[in-house]
Amino acid sequence: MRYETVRRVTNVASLAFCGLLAATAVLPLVLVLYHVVRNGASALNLDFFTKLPVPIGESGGGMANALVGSLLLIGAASLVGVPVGVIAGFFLARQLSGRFAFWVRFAADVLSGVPSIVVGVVAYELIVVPMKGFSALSGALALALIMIPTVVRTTEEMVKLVPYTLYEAALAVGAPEWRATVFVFLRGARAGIITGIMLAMARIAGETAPLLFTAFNNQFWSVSLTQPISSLPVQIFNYAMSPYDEWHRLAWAACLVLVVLVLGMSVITRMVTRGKYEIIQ
Amino acid sequence: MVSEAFRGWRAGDGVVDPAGHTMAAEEVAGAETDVLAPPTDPEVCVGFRAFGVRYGDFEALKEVQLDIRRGHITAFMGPSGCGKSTLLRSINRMNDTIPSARFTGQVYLDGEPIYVPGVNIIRLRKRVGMVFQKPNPFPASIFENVAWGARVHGLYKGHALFEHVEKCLARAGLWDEVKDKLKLNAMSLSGGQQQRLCIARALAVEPEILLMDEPCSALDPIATYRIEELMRSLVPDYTVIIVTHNIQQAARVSDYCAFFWVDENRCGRLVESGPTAQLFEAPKDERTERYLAGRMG
Ligand SMILES: Nc1ncnc2c1ncn2[C@@H]1O[C@H](COP(=O)(O)OP(=O)(O)OP(=O)(O)O)[C@@H](O)[C@H]1O
Ligand SMILES: [Mg+2]
Repeated sequence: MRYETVRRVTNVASLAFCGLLAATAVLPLVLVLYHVVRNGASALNLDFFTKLPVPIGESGGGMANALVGSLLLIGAASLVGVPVGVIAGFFLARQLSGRFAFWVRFAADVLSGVPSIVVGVVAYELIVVPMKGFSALSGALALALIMIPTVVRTTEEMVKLVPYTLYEAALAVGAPEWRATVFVFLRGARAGIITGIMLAMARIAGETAPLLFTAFNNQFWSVSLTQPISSLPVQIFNYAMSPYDEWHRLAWAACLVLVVLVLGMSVITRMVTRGKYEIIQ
Repeated sequence: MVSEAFRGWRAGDGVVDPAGHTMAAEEVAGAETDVLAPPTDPEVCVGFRAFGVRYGDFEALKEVQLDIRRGHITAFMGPSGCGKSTLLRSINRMNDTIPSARFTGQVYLDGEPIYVPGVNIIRLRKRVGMVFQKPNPFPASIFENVAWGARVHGLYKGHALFEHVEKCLARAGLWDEVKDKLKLNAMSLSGGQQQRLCIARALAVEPEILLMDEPCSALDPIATYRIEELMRSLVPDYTVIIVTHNIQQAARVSDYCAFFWVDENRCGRLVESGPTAQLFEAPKDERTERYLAGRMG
């Protein structure tokens, strides 16, 4: 009897302790959401999505250009980063040994550890300088470079999870190797690869540093790849550093939009791919 | 012709492997004149001729001389590691996917050698279907599992494809159970159903031969019984070769048996082969007798 009481108390205490730790881990997220919503919601209106920034002193205006710029940058970066990342990851998964595979894997690991501002400086040196000007293109390529390692490694891990006997089965019905590979591994790993891509996109959506001296910023409407382009993170940076209350409010609103964008991407990924994981394993 | 066929191939790319060649040449010198002669009996579907397989330096199987009869079930039996799977996978050249595998001798399929350069492996595998030990349906719908192979070979399209899938599923005794859920993921089926789906998938490319490597070892007795029944229904339309560790199963389903053993170098050897009844009642070799008695008694 006594022993049971001790056990019960221990149980409750450990549970409470775990709960406390879990709450501590979630606390930052709650704080971020709370402040962003509290400060951003009031500044958020239709103008934010439809209007361009207005000069200092005038009130109103929005961030239509930054929103579209961000989407354009993410899209262009994915256009480059996803095919490169998926193909490289596929190669790594199917080519387990070999010197070349080793170096590709090593490069992906190193690249994922390179600070994003360094990537921005490199993109500046390699693209902005020769092109003689800031451009959306240079920003997108910098973001693509940041995205590639994530896509490579998730693709590799997901393709490796697909059982080899499925590949053998595809060969055994007389499929050519390339067709068996594409069918079995791409289909088997699809959900996981999509998750990896979405996570990588969510990550670059908030990147600021590599854009500061590549895509730069643009107060006007622009969807040209060769012109400087505005983006939400850079706009937030500029507005938050300014001394104007009006701009601070807009920066909060932009934060809210960015957080919802990133959160929405994660949630949608979870929903789309839930259950499909179980099928693979 | 003989020496040509006797080279060791790094199969798949048609490059003659020098090591294999040397080894083969030695054996040719000591061999009887026509251990490599193709089978003349049209009833013989697969003929192994002085066939051997090595994985790198390890000789897994050698000097297999065996004829497999068309339209019957042949069972490969023997202790673990004696090369049954290796021999089975040589018929559709699945061992080609193992980089260290080298082959000597020859395998004839309907009188044509298959270990020669220029053999169309895709067509070979279309003629020789395979079912694996663990049910391994594709991570796709039930329909797609069966249809895919047919589509790869461009066999049917549109409605004809649907009818073909139905026919194969019916042939595998699965149609009634899945006809309402063809779009469902194949992983949602039970193990026995999955294995029958794999048989339907193999049948879908219209093979002549069906290789089965311990197809029931992951199944319960009732599912096993259904697969055995199914196998019986596949002959004489198909030639079936099955690897099994289950002696009763071999006795129940097979018409012919081949018994393998490992020699002192752990190399697999064919001990004897013949009609199942004959092999079970009057085994010629002492090892066969002991193996059959030991497991049965
Ligand atoms: N990929 C491989 N690489 C190296 N050796 C192999 C390979 N596959 C099989 N072997 C070896 O070849 C021999 C025969 O293997 P095989 O799988 O054909 O035996 P088996 O008779 O099917 O055995 P079991 O009844 O356990 O399935 C074994 O000694 C095994 O270790
Ligand atoms: Mg085996």
